[in-house]
Amino acid sequence: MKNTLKILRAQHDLSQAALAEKLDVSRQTINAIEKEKYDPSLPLAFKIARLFRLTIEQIFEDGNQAITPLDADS
Amino acid sequence: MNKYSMAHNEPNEGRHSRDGKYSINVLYWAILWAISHLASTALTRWVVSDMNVIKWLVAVWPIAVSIGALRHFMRYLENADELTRKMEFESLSAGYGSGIIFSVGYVSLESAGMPVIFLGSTAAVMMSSYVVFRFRAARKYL
Repeated sequence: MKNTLKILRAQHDLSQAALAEKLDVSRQTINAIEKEKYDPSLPLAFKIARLFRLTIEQIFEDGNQAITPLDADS
Repeated sequence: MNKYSMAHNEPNEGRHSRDGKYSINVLYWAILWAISHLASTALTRWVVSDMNVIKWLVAVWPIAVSIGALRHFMRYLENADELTRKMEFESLSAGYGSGIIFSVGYVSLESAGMPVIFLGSTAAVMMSSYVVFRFRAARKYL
């Protein structure tokens, strides 16, 4: 999943290890998310968003997977 | 290399300290299990000859140790970093599936003429497949 984690980390002058420690995950997890090899769990995505005071959608982009909202049917 | 562009591929580098702590416990228990198994087999074969309580206790001892090892492995999984847990689950699933395919598939091969093999071969297939798929998962995600 595309994300801006690396940019955000650079903006806040954080190393992968420092960010991993703040989020209580491994540095490998941060690296895998940044390289778009691994999609974080929902709790971790919320933690990342709260840490940077952003929403999940501002950090992660799901490529606008086609789905019709429920209220659009009526 | 600056701190914003770290690209580490070493399987053990950058692990969560908790993973290291719990996996070391699993390793100690696995070693204890292997030693117990070898000792128990040797004792029941060559030392304790009669079928009595002592022989049963010697035979049951490695099973008790293996349950301890399994409990520590479960604890490791429960406390593992989420990426580590994903890699472990993928590898365990592949190992389990390989064992099932082997054990069920070999029945057909035996009926076609292949030699009868030791039942424990399935465990060897499961474990070796787990190791192969664990390396594969590390290459995929790290």
